[in-house]
Amino acid sequence: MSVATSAARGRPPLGAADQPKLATLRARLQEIKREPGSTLEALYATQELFSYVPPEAITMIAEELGMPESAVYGVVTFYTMFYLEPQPRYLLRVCRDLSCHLAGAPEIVRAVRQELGTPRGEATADGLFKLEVVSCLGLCDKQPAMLVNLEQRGPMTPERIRALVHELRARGA
Amino acid sequence: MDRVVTANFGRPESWTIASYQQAGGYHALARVLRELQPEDVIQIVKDAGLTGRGGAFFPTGMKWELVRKDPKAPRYVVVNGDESEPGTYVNRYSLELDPHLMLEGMIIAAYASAATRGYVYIRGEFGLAHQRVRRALAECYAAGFLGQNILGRSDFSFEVSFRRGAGAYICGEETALFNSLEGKRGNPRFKPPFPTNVGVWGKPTAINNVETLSCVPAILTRGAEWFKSLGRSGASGTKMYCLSGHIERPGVYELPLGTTARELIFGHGGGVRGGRALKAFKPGGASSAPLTPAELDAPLEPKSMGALGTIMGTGGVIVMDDTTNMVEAAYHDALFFEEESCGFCIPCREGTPNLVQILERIMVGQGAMDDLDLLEELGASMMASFCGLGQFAHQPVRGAVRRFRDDFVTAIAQGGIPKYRGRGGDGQAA
Repeated sequence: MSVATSAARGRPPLGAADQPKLATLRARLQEIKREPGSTLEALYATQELFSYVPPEAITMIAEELGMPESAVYGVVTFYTMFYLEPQPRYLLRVCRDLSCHLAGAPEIVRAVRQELGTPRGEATADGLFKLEVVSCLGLCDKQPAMLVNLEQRGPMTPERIRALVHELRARGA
Repeated sequence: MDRVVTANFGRPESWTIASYQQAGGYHALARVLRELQPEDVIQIVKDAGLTGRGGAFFPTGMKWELVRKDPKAPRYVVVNGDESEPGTYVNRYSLELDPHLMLEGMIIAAYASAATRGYVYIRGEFGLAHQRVRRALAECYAAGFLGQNILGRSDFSFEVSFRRGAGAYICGEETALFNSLEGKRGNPRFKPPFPTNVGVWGKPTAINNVETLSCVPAILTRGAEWFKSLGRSGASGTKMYCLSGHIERPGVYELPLGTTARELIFGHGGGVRGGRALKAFKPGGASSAPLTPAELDAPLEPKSMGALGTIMGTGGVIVMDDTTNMVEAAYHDALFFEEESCGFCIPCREGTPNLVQILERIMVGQGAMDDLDLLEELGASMMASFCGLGQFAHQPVRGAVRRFRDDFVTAIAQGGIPKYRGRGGDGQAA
C-alpha cells in the first residue's frame, strides 16, 4: 500500500473544488522550501488551507522539498498537531496533566462532552467542534486550562464551558 | 530584590522594541560590540555563574566557549522555547511579555560563540508567543540588531529564523529539537558528540533556554558579581519559579535561585488553596519526584534537590493538598510520559505504558503488594532508555512509592481508590 493510499484512510481523492487550494499550496511551498528543513512549516501551510494534511499534499510536499513521501508521512504522524483527517472549525484542547487535573480538569472534560453531545469525544456532526484531551499546554496559571484552536482560555469551570460553546456556536463557521 | 528577567513585565506593550528600548534595551549589546571581545563576554558569563535554566544547569559560558573553539562553520545559536514540562509556564511569560530581552541575550551569545546563524524554536501551542517573537525578530532586523554587519560591525553578522514545533514534548530534548528543525521526526540523537560540536545541521551549536538567554543582558550591564549575589545557598542569580496545583495564587515568581519551597509556596503563593494542609509538592515539573512537607526548607536549587533524590528541573512547582491520593498523582505523571514517549527506544516505549498499567490496576482495585517491587524494577530497567525522557519518566512514580508508600499500600489493601474502584483497567480510569 502506498503512503498516499495509507494517508487517505479510505477517503476519496480531492475534487475539482480543491484544485485552487492545491495551486495555492504549490505557490507557498516555493517560498517555504527556500529555508532548509521546513517540513513542519509546509505542513502548517497545508493545514491552513485544508484543516488537515490530505495525501495529495504529502505527495506535493515530498516533491517540492525533495523528501520521500514516507518521510513526510512520518513527520505528520509524529507531531500531535498535524492531522490526516479534516478538522472542525473549533478544536477544543483541554489539558489533562497533573496541575490541571488537581484543579478540576475531569469536570471540564465532562462538561465539554455533555455540552457538545459527544460522549465519546468524537467531532460534532456540524463540523464545528472536536474535543482533544491533551498533554500540558503550559497554561498552568490558568488551570484548568484549554485552547480554542490556539487561543488561551482559563481557568475554566463547567459554566464557562457552556458559555464558551454557546458563544462559538453563535459565531458559527 | 533586583529582578533580572521579569523587570519589564509590567510595562505597557512590553513586547515591542520601543518599550524595550525605553527601558534601556539593547544598550548591553551596543556596549558589548563597542568594548568587549567575545572572550571577555564568555569570561563574564562564566564568572557570573550562569547555568542553563531549562533544568540541566550546564554552565552557559563554557557552552559558548566550546562552540567558539570548534572550527566548523557556520556555528549556530538555538533558542529552546519548546517549554512543555507539566506545571511549567515561565518561558511562555518571557516570550509573550519580553521577547526582546531573550533576543538581545541571543545576539550576545552569537557574538561570544562566533555564531552566524540562529533559530528560535517555540512549541506549537504557544500562538501568542509566535506572533510576538515574529514581530520582535522583524523589529530587530529593521533596527540593525540582526542581519549583516550588526551595529556597523563588519565582522559580525547573525541571521535568525523563526520555527514552530507541532505538539511533541520530546522536542525539548536538544538533539530531538535539532531533528525537528531539520524537518524530521523529533527523535533524539546519540550523545556524544554533544551539540557544542555536532548540533543542528551537524554544526557546532549553542542551544540555550529562553530564561538563560534572558539573564545575559543584565549580567553584561551590571556585572558578574551582582548576578552571583542574587542567588542563595551557593547558587547564582535568580530563577523564575512558577506555582500550580492546589495553590492559592498560581503564577510566576522571580526569586533568588535557592529560595526554599516554604517561602515560595507559603510566602509568595499564599499557601495551599482553601487553607488546607500540604501533602506533597513537586519541585520542578512532572519529571521531578515529589517531596513531603518535612522537606519544605530545602533550597530549590540543583544540588539540594539532587541530595533529596529528586531534581530541581524547570522550577515548575506543583502543590498537592491533603485530599490528594499519591497513586493518582503518580498515575497522571505516568500518563503524560506514556503519551509523550517518542517510541524510538524500547525501555521507554514499553516502560511508560507498563507504569500506567500497574498504577491503573492499583487504582481500580486489582493491585498486589508485588506491584510496588515491580514498579522499582521497571524503573531500574527504564534507566537504559536512549534519552532523558525515559530515564526520568519513572522517577516521579518511584519517588511517590518511596515517600508516600502508605497511599499505595492502602489502595492495594482496600481494593483501590474509591472513585476509581471497580472501573476496568482499560485506560478509562483517567
